[in-house]
Amino acid sequence: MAEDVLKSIREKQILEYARDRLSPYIYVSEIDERSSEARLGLMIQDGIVDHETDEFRIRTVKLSDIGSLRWSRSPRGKIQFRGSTRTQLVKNTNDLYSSIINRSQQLLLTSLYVKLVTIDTVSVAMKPFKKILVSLEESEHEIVAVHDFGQKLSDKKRQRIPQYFNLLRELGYIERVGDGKYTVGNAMSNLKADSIESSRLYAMILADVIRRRSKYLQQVLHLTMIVPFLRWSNSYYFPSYEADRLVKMHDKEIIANCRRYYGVRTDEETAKSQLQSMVERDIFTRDASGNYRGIDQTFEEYKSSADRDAILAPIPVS
Amino acid sequence: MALSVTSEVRKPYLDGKNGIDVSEVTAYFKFQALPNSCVPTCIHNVLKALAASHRYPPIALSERRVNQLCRYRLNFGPIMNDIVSNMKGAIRSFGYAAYAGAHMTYGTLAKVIDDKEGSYPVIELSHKYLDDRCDSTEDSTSENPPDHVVIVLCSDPNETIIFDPFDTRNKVMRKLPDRIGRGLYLMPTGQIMEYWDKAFRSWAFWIGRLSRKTRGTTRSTVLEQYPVNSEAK
Repeated sequence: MAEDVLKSIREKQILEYARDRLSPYIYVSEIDERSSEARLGLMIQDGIVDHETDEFRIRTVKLSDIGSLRWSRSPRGKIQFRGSTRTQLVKNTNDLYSSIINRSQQLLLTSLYVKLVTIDTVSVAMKPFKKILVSLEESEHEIVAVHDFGQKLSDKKRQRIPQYFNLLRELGYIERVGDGKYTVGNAMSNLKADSIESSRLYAMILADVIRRRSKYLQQVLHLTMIVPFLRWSNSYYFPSYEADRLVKMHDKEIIANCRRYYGVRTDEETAKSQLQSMVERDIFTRDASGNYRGIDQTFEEYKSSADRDAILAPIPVS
Repeated sequence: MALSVTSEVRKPYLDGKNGIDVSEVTAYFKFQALPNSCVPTCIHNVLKALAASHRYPPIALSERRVNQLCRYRLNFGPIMNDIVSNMKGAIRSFGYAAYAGAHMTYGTLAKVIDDKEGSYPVIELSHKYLDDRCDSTEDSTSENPPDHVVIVLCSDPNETIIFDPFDTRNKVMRKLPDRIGRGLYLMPTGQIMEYWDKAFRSWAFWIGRLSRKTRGTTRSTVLEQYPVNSEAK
């Protein structure tokens, strides 16, 4: 009992210090009397708008370990605190919050990649992969050579062609048969055995490439066309997940979420045009008042993987 | 300026400072853009009201400037300890000073409201206020949830009129029977004091006018009038 009282007094002392000097949204996640140290958490408040019910709800995401404070007694017996600065806490918080946002985005990708690949700008970016697959299909012996590709391209773009081949080989869609020559791989043969129609087959392969190698596509091959669409999706579906239902959002709210999650500004016209192409690909629906709503099946898939991953559970720094 | 509580229909509701209709006073008040921006939003609003009543536009600092002075950061909110010193530095040359206090008495609050030379007070209310009134959070089980702040426009021992910057965002709040206008609520003073008392610091903030005699020094009329626990930490 006395221990509980001491803990409560200590917590109040720490909070009085931390909430006045660091943030009113700090909480104490752990107190260790032996080492005179407390771990600090932060309550991030997400505002979620739902035009369906005309509600603005606050959902708190707790980051349980963004820094620490140690205490000691001065010679006069006054309690003194030392520890993480606000700058350090902000950095840790940004890192942790970004990891939640990125994890959510990754989970969403697995539910959306088949649809995302059909968006025009994404499909253009993925064209080199499609050309390789189509050439294989059309060639007499199902063999293609790297040097047959990219003759009209600039040097810079031509240099990337072996990387496209390598990526498809790595995923088992093509197989090397000689110096710079490739044929159909096991993964593609298996899909073909299922008598999937060609255009759907290509879409499935391209979607799989995006799903399994999105980081490589963006950071090495610089195919970043998919990024804004993933961000828009996450800026809608993540708050819906926090609200535990598909909410109705206006484009300005999706744009504001995107800015808050990723720190990027997008002009309204570009945003609207990209959101429109996502409506056309059945990633959202939009009603006559301009409110966007997600798709039930996509949300259910994303929700079950997000639940499994416990993306909103407090996560520690280390 | 005290409210009459005898009549059911008593529009217009007047503020406690200048006897102006509260809906007129708050017509240009802003609502918080983010869940944790209630403090800078309220400070910005009271400065605007002060600028209007004193016919002195420079005191109406922009929202951006108030955010800077409060050291507001996304997800972190303001630094409570820095608000008063930073605000003081910014408004001193205009002849004003900023004050904050913890565990202030109701009498002091009433005097701040009454003082035509100063701003409306901003007070901190316990998180329970939001839990009770707008069903806005899912985190009430947390032991020390963050508090909320509102502006007090008028108060007598029976009833108090507040402006809540969270108002327009919440449907449940907008349907409350004590809502008397855009962002405005008429609540029992006892209830407001309870929420204020249960807040983490029971914080209050206001802007006062430096007296002619003491302008340019560190003392102000407000501070001289209300010395009880009201000086900023």
